[in-house]
Amino acid sequence: MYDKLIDDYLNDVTKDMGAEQRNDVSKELRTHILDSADALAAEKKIPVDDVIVREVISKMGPAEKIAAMYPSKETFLEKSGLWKVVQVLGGIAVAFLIVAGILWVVAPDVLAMPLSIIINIVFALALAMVVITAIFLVIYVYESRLKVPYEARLHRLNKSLQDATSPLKVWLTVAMAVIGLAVITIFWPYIPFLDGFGPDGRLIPLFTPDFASFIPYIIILGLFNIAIQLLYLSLRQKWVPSLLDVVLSCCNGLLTIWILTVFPFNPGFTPIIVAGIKVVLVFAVIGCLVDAAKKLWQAAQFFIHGSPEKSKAV
Amino acid sequence: MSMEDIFERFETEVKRGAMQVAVMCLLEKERYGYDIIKSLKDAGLGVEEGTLYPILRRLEDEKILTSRWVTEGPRPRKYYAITEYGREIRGKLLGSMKSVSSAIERLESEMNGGN
Repeated sequence: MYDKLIDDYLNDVTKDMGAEQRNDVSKELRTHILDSADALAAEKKIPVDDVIVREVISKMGPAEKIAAMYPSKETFLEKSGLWKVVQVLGGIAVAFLIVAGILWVVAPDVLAMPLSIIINIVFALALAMVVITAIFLVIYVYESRLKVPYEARLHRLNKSLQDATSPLKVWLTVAMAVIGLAVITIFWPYIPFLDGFGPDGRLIPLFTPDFASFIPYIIILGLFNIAIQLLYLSLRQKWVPSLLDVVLSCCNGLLTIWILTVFPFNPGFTPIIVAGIKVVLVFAVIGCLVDAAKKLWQAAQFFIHGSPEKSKAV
Repeated sequence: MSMEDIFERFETEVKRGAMQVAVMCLLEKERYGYDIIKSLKDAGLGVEEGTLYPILRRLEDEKILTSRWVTEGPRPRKYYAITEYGREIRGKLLGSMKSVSSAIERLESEMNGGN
């Protein structure tokens, strides 16, 4: 994806800036690159891709040149006051050493005891300087090297996870569906649940062999989900898999209602536990319906605008 | 250094100075970076796009411009506008540029007359 191209360029421009300026400049230049990429892509009547972004970045000029043009701000060393702290501590240490020197000259016979105290104080001050410098060094590395790239990566990851068509989201959903199917088909007879509250409560199987009749439907819906996810990657008309997602959410809701009517499979559960699980199943049905509505809205946006992102821009 | 290199260096220096004044003129109305670059291009002052932003930052540090982030819309945009102090400086700079321009014109006509 071209996001990495942009991040790399912005990191090169802002690598020597303080965290605040770095964040501000990155945000502003990113918007410029994306605006220019949109304009260039529209001019060429193609979607924004790596080639377009590379062209825009080359028009921006070399990162080092732009970085050098920015007015230099206070360095971290100046801004943090680290240098002043070290100066003060060093000054105190030197003052103690001077006192020790004077004592050695004027009263060498009483020096033994104060000298050991002075050496300890100077040692403590030196240790304080080392510790303070180490703490500021850690803060500096975080502020200048880690904070912004880390935030940018998190932002990118979050964006990818919200985008139904992103390869990351698709493969994550496929992986989760495969793991979910494997777990449910192999382990469903062994899923334990508390049969009741109180001191007599014990773990008993949540499902009895009656649940086996639902397993083929769960597998079919799981495979249907995987097929839909793959369609997001392979089809240009994203509204098609999005609409199929609506059907899948409705089917999931119907299956949950069916399970709800048959529940409990195991008669060993107390009424309060059965009621609790049924409430959870009702919420699951509501969740499926809300999800279906969201997917329907997404399908409409794909159909009208090509993508939900573009619809926000309109 | 080739003639093209020398010309490019001179042109860049002249343009960069002119661009700062042009930006001050454009920012009588609030605008964001991409919009400023488009307007500069339309006015015949095409620049390397990335160089505008450090200039905006410098002018802002010097209190010639003021800025604010607008986060509504698909992307966050930093809008700039000229300050009252910036207007005073712009007036002086425009006067200075005009006098330099007329001095150059005079020298050019003397040069041509001399030939």
